[in-house]
Formats: sequence, C-alpha cells, structure tokens
Amino acid sequence: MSDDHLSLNELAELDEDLLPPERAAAARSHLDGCAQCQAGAESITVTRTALGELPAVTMPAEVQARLEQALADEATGPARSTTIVPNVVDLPRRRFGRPTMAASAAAAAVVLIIGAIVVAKVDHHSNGAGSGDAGTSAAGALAQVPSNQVGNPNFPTSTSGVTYTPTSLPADVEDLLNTAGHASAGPAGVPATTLPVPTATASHKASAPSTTSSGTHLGGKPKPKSSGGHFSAATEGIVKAPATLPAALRPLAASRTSLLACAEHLAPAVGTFPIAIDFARWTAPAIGTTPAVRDAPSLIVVFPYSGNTYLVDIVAPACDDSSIRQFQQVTLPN
Amino acid sequence: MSAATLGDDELLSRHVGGDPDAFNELLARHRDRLWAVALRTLGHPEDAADALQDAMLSAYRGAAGFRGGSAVTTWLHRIVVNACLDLARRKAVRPTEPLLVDPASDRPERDRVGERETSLAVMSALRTLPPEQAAAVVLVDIEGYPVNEVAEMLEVPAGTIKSRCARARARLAEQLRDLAPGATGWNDANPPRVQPRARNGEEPA
Repeated sequence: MSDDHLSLNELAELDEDLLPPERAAAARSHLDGCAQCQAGAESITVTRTALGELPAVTMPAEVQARLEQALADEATGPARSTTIVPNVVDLPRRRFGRPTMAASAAAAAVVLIIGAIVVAKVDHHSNGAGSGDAGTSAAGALAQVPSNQVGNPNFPTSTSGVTYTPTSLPADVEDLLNTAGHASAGPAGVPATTLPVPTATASHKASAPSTTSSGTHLGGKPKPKSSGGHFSAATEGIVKAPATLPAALRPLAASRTSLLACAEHLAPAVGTFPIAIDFARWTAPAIGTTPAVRDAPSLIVVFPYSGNTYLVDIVAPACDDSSIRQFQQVTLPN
Repeated sequence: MSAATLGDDELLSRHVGGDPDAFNELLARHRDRLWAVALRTLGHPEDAADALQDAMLSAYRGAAGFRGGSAVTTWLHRIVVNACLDLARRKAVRPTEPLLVDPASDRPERDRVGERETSLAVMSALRTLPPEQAAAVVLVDIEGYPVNEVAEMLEVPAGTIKSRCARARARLAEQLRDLAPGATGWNDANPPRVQPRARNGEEPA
C-alpha cells in the first residue's frame, strides 16, 4: 500500500484528519519518502492559502440598491400573511411539477403558513379532497381541505382586467372574493349568480386590520378596479368579451370546458374547484430565475384551502405545465 | 438608542415588532459578507444578486421564525447559502459563459504582482465545484468561519463540512497545479482551465 501514490483527495483528507487511523499512518509513511506526493500535499496547502488570500469584496452599489428596493416593495405591501416565495410549497397532488426551494426557504414558508393557518377540522365525506397520502406531515396537514370548501364546477369568473402584483395580490384577492361572495365565508359551492361589480374602496374599507406576525404594515394600496369589469355567473358560461379582457385570454374566457380543464389541471386535490377566477394581468419583478413580467395577461385562479387561507395561481393563458407564473398562499383577515 | 448600537438580535426583534428600519440596518451591517458568500459560491454576479434577493426577502418575511439559539449571522448565512444552492441546482450548466472577473480583483495596482491573476484563477476554479463543495470551501477557507459554525449554518455535521472542503481543495489544487508548475504563482501565459460545473451538483463517490 505504501508504494501507491496518494491522490489529491487522500492528501486533502489527510490534511483534514479525515482518514481512518491505519490509513493515515500508511499515508504519512509513504509521504515521507515520496517527492511526488509531497508536491501534491504542497499543492493542497497552496490552494488553502490562495483561497484565504482572495481580496475582500464589497457589495456593488447597484446590487445594494436592488435589495433595498425589493425590501421597500415588500414593506409597502399588504400585511396580510402571505407567502410570496414562488414555487415554495410543493403540495401533494399538484399536477404540475414545481421546482422545490431550498430547505430553509421552505421551512421559513412553512413557519409562516403554520403561523397563519388554523388547520380546519376535516370531514372525510367529500370526494377525496383532504384524504389520502400526503407527503410530509406538514404538507399533509396543510393539504387538507375542508370538505365544505372544495368549491364546485359552477365557480364564478370575472374579467377585471386589473393588473395584479405580488404585493397587491392579497388585497386584490380579497376584492375578488368579496365580490364573488366568498370572503365573509359562506361555504363555497353556493351556486354562483350574477355578481355586482366590485369597488376597491368599499372592500378595502371593509378589510380588517392585519394580524400577521410582523405587522409592519397595513393594507395594500387601493387599486381602482376597472368599471368595465364584471362577474358572470357560471350559468352564463361565457364572458361577453368586455374591453378589459386581454385578447390572449379570450379562448379560455369563451369556453367553459377549456376553463374547467384548466382549473382541473391546477387543482390542489382531485375534486377541488376554484372559488373564483379572474381574467386579469400580472406584473412582477424577477425573483430568482423567474423573469420579470409586466401586464402579462393572466388567469388569477383562487382555490379554497383552509379557513381564510386560499391558494392562488397566477397562470399564463396557455394553462399548461409551464404556465404557472406564481403560486401563492393568501390568508385574508377575518 | 440608535439602531447602529443595537445587537443583531435586538434589530431582528424590532423588525418583527414592526420597526421599518431595523431590517435594513441588519442588512447594511452584514451585506458585504453575505455578498461575498453568494458571489463566490455561485461565481456570477447576476446569480449572486438573484440569490441574495431571494434570501433577504425570505429572511425579511421569516424573521418571526428565528428561534435564537444560534447567532443571527448564522441564520442569515444559512438562508443565503440555501438560496445559492437552490439557484445553482435549478440552473443548467453554463460552461461557455465568460470567466468571472472578481470585482475586487479589478482594483489596479495591487501590492503583489500576480495577485489579480491568482484571484481570477481561483475564482474560475471555484466555479467548477459542485455547489455544496463550493459553499463549504467559500465559508471555511475564504471567509474564514470555523468549521463548527459552518456546520451549523448548513445544518450538516462538522465532518461533512470537512469532507466537502477536502474534496473541494483537491479539485481546486488539481486545476491550480496546472497553472503553477512552481506551485507559487499563476500567470497570463497559462490561463486557467475551466471545466463546467458538475451538472447535478452531486459529490463524487
């Protein structure tokens, strides 16, 4: 053995005292008489030194400005508890693959979510939602959807044409649900009827103050809803292409079948239907590898989840596997 | 009491309690170190900025989940490194991109001839490491954190950190040795050979 030269790996492990004692002794004895391996050991030392002597770096001003802006945007956002990290929660039975985030980000999100959610008691007489094999225990608990909130295929749609953003999302969703008649909690699944046009001011005034853990800020900026927006009852089926409907969304708006297929594709659990869908737009800064988008025609699809917590998908018009622009939990005030 | 004199823990508590300036103060205090970790782990300024933004927003939102028990800096580093590893895992290999020029190495007239080249070669070689190895060696050898603290940051045993560092050094030595027959210097005549980063980030058996 002592005739074998040592690999750089072994030399580095010897250096870190990671080799088993017998192996280490043999390696040292070989090293004593082998110039080649001594040179290898020297190269490990030189490498450590070179690493330690790299000059210090300072954060460039533009990166500094970008971070400060991102935090400022975050601070002016609504204080309702939201988990804005995209793609962070990989719920069981999501049919779309979602990249998972690093453990700590996910853990942080779970902390927020658990803090925000009162996990509802689950009745298991529904059509499978909420029962079954959840992946992790945390995700399993979170994935349970109360049976009276799985929605139904007659979910209402609206065509607000409003541009949602990550920070306005909770307030916008609240508006949407207030208008759709769900925010003050009646069980979802109430047959949809023609709904009045929402007025942002009224619904924002009606909003309860936030009760999130950070509590650093209140309410989103009121966003005037287009007066052209309107809700359509499911039985109407088809939105009559108001001016606010982005052209790219017309196919989905025009076909209840396509919309149902899309909703089914997005559903967090089999048999779960949205409680509202808005044909709207989406603007968001780049986050991670997700590029920035501006006023992109998008479906805002709101699924019931637990109590006042909803799952919101922001989806590109194609509504296929790569269409999810963002996936977010939104917890509204009581 | 001005924010500048408060401890990290107190700043974080104030942030959770609604103080709008506390988190910025905390970031300002540590930004260069966090930037260095992100930049050197990922090797690309744009990636580093993306990861750092993700990380800082996570920290901003998740501050209430900080349990104490470890230093705030350890917690911040954990979030940053995890954001870096996550970004690295999600990104495809980009072997054809230009070599990173470490911003610091652009400073003219360093006091040692060849330092710029050395720095450039080391940074280039770092890019070829699997991200977990890069993170370990960046934190231990470049940033100088004790192995035990890095183990706490990355939530793995200290032995794992040592092992990752050893493997990283062996890989780096392999590349840097090619550049430095005399084992003491690198020069323009022998530009660094850069291999693409391992695709899946797995450590070799």
